[in-house]
Amino acid sequence: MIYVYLEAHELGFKKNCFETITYALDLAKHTQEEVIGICLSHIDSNMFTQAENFGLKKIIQLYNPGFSNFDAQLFSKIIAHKIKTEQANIVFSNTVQGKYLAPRVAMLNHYSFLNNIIGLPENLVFKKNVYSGKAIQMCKPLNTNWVIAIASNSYHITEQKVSCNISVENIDIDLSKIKCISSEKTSDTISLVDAEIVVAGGRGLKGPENWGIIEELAKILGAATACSRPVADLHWRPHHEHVGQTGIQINPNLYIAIGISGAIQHLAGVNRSKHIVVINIDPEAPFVKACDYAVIGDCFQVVPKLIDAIKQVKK
Amino acid sequence: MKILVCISKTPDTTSKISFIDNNSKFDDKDVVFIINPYDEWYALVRGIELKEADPSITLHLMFVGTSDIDPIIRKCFALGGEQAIRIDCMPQDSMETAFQIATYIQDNPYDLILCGKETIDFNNGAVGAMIAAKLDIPHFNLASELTLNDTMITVKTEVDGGTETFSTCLPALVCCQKGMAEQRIANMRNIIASKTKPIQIVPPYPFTPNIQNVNFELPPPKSGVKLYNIETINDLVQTLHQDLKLF
Repeated sequence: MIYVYLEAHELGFKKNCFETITYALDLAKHTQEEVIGICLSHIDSNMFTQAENFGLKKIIQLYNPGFSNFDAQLFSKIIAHKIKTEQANIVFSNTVQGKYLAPRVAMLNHYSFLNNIIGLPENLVFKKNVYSGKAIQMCKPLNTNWVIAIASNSYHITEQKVSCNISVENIDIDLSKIKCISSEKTSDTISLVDAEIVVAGGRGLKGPENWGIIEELAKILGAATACSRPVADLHWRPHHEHVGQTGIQINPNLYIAIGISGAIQHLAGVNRSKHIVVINIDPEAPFVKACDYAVIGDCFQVVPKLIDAIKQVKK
Repeated sequence: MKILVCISKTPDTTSKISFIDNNSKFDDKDVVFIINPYDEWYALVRGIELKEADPSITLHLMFVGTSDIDPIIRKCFALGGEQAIRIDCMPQDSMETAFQIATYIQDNPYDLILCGKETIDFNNGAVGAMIAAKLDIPHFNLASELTLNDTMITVKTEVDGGTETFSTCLPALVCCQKGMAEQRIANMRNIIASKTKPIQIVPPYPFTPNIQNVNFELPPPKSGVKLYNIETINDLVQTLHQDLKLF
């Protein structure tokens, strides 16, 4: 039996859930195992439809009227207990919640723990991203049971219509020890970690007043915006946009870096992107050698032309 | 008040990553090891800041490793750490590291445990969460601010699309990232003192590994960059749009 942790937000299940569902279904194909979604939040009709569209036949909702906020300590104990009782394995996504829960669940049950997993295993040998994307480690769980977390945006999503059955199990919980005292939304734009396309600007843009072209390009592509470390340190852009070794590590399908030279610390945060386009005036910039497509030219001329060209094909 | 900072060593960011023994082992020849940046810049420095603000705090540094980690411990002393504990084993994975540290803490309790958000070699970001699970205490990932108020802490953490600030009673564990503290440079007095500060060596607790490392691979090389200029930008857009269907 393979469980899949289903994480909800205001628009239903998060996109990463469909990736983990497809992954778990493909994994279970060989072993003829059953795949069951496990969810600790309220499931509305929209989420139910989503589950049916992505091939999930069963969801267990573990429910307690006292649940209000996400609490890793409580949630992990509930999940660990459930999978131990069922002798099941579990797949998480490497999202914020997945990173809280997967290691805790593995530790509580002393299950083998593997994260940053890319692709399906061969003979139970899993591949994982290590050294900030500079190497891949092959490793094998030695326990019969395991907890894995797959790298977000690393597996395809397959739609397949099935009928889904939800069972609600009431559970007892301890009192939460943590209290959320304030929450702040940084912006209404797309979150960097989930984004399929990311457009980033560096010092080559010369100043915060020139960010209009970055934002416009991001807008027509439905992309998230990011920046390099010097730009965040100069306060041209907020720190939460900083991608790189010490900032956020991203893995979108397309990463467009504008006016970023490509210091090794920056590359460590972005080199898991599937396709990288670099726009730089300097053909000798290190990033030009480490990308897939490079446009050599002045970004203030290239980017508006790129925006026009994209608008043309999107018509 | 007792604070423990958990610290790991990692290859320098600019190191060439290669493997030996049929790709089963990291080749550490000519590799410069550093204090894992998240552990140093954020967890350790914040620990030192808290101790400076309240000298009655006991600040201990925790390492899991064999004696080849000692130079890293001395570097941490040079930044201002006072006392270190080294659990004498070579951990094979995150769970073993977490198990060793958590078992030690069960015998020697701490109020606040600080870690970096992840190490830059294995990128698991799991040790903090695992220690907290074994101790059955709350933990916070991606923390960028931490204030200590008697037996309570307030922690600002990054969540999807924003930040959330939590409070909790101690004991608790915090995994630190950017914003937590400003990077420090060792001063001469601490560098001299670092040579004689004590390292307590603790024998490892028995642990059965539950992951087997098979081998490593380097990612496939980039197939070579395709160059464009302002005149040929439409070709690039065609490739991205029609061939790769990226938008």
